[in-house]
Amino acid sequence: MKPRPILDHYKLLRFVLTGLVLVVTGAVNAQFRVDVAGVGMRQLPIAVAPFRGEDGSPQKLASIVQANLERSGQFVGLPVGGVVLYELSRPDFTSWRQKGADSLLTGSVTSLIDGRFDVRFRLWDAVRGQDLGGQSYAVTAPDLRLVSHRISDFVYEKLTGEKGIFSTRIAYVTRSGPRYQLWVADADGENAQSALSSAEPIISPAWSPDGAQLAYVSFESRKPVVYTHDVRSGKRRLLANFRGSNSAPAWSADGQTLAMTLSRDGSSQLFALSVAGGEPRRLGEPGLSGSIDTEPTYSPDGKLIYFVSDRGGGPQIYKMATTGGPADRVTFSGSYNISPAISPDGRSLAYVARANGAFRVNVMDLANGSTTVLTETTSDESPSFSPNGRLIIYATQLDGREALMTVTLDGRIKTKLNGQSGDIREPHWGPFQKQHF
Amino acid sequence: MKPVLIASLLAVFLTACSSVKLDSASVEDKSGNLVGKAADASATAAAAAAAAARAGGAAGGTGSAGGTAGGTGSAAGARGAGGAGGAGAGLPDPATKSAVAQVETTKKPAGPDLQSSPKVVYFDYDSYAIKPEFQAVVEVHARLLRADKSRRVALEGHTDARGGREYNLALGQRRAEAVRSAMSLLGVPDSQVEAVSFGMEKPAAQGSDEASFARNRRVEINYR
Repeated sequence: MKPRPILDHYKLLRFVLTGLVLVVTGAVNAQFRVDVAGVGMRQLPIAVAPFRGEDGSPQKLASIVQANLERSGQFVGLPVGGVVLYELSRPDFTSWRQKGADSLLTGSVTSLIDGRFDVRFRLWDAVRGQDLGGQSYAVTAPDLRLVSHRISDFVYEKLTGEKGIFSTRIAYVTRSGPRYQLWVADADGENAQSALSSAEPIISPAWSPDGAQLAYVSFESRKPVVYTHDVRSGKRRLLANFRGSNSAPAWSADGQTLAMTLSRDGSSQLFALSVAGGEPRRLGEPGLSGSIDTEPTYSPDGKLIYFVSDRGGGPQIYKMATTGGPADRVTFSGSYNISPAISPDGRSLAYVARANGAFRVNVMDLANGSTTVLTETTSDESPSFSPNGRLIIYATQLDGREALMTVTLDGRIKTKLNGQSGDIREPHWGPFQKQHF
Repeated sequence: MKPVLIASLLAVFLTACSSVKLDSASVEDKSGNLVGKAADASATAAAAAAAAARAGGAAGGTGSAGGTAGGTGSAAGARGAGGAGGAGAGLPDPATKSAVAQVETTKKPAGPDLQSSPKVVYFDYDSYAIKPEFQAVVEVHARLLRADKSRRVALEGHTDARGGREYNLALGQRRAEAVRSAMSLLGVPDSQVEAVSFGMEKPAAQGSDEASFARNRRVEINYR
């Protein structure tokens, strides 16, 4: 361990916390807002003290951590006042208990002589007065947000017993004037990096299971074609450019195959393609020509493909075995059910249902078929599960703008992600990533 | 202390490298142009090969168009790969975690404007039937295509903004296929025609009233 440089000056960050939490992050004027609507049951009260020294760092780590935890729906952040704490402080547990905190996060961030930052934290059980552990990291300034997400994951896992998703990434598309851009961003919508910029639309980004590639539909050649794209290098490959339209790519669980919709034989039908290219293999029964089959998605165990078909009239969700055979209808209520997404445990189906002219995210318990409407908005699109299955990200319209939101599976906690200006759409949540530190 | 310092300097250095890469990794995509121009039957061998690949239904990924796409991306790929692996000792590896290289596509130039006759067929809500008043539009273009076998046309289906993007893409495709099939009945070979869809992505009118919706439910006949 390196000796810690002595900190001479730091100011205490002051938060204002009201019922609505407004969090403003640091130096690059990146702003996001966590609008928590609805009251959750059994939310864990946690106090996140400002990290000592964070005023001198480009990121306000405590704010990022607290916003993350609240967005999960399983935590409520408590006001901490003007306390000065860091990871070596011995907190006054009686006083924290009186404030209602079950747990307390303390930490510090210190500039190192090489320009990096030393970040340390400690999590406390305020009820039992126990040390729940901590970690330290030495990182460059651009990775301070990632460290904040890793700390959030640590806290989440310690206190809920489940893996956190805060250090995962999302992909989405923005449209601003005539420009379309595909972005890769942190799970909170921040720290977005542009992967593709085009004068023509980009839709349906889909993460490969290892999180290294995106498949998507691009209209840059005046027709929809499917690309795969290595996000780190920018190297992309034109995977499907068959006669007609090529769309709706979905990765198999092993990352070796993509299911997609091709219209090369006239109507929109499902095919499987090797990630290396080659001849597509038709999925599903022949003889249903004329009807639309689209939006395939693999079940996490790789055995089933859920998809949308209008073979019965309007669009409904069906499932079939990956190996072939007949399809079974999954949705029965309503005349328009599209955009299926299966939870990582295979138990829940999120989809968009039209009711009274409004398009809303619904979730179905696949064991018994019971459904819940999760939103009150009217133009929801593209639901996608977080890798721990606890949140769904989706696109919607808010105040006339396209925006991204997350919602808990019970619909109680909704958060708007404000990572980008302009219209944001087509979100897809990436997988858990390997820990690099 | 020393190895840590070296590793951290290395990490800083690599971070600097990768940020340069990010800035310079925009790639002009030529595959769009290639595919788009292919139907012009221009003289270049590459375009002819791409057209052949398309007409033959060969896989884009293995045909010449796919090869070109891979080629344009590879420069960025080579640059982006370098940053990995430098950061040891439990240090972060910025290139691995957050490096994203941006790729930029170029816009295809508009096709030749051959005809002054109407080139749009409009549809009723939730319908892909060609209404009698638009039969004449289809017939005019069928005649033009039969008269000149070198002409190629894209039938571009569109929907209004209600509903999902992918399902609308399929609905737009169905409209484009309806026009293709009508032209086929009028003697136009399928080799001159490609039915594609833009779904709800390219509205002709921006409003969310019925009049705008009606203008968006259409097939555009575009000569290439």
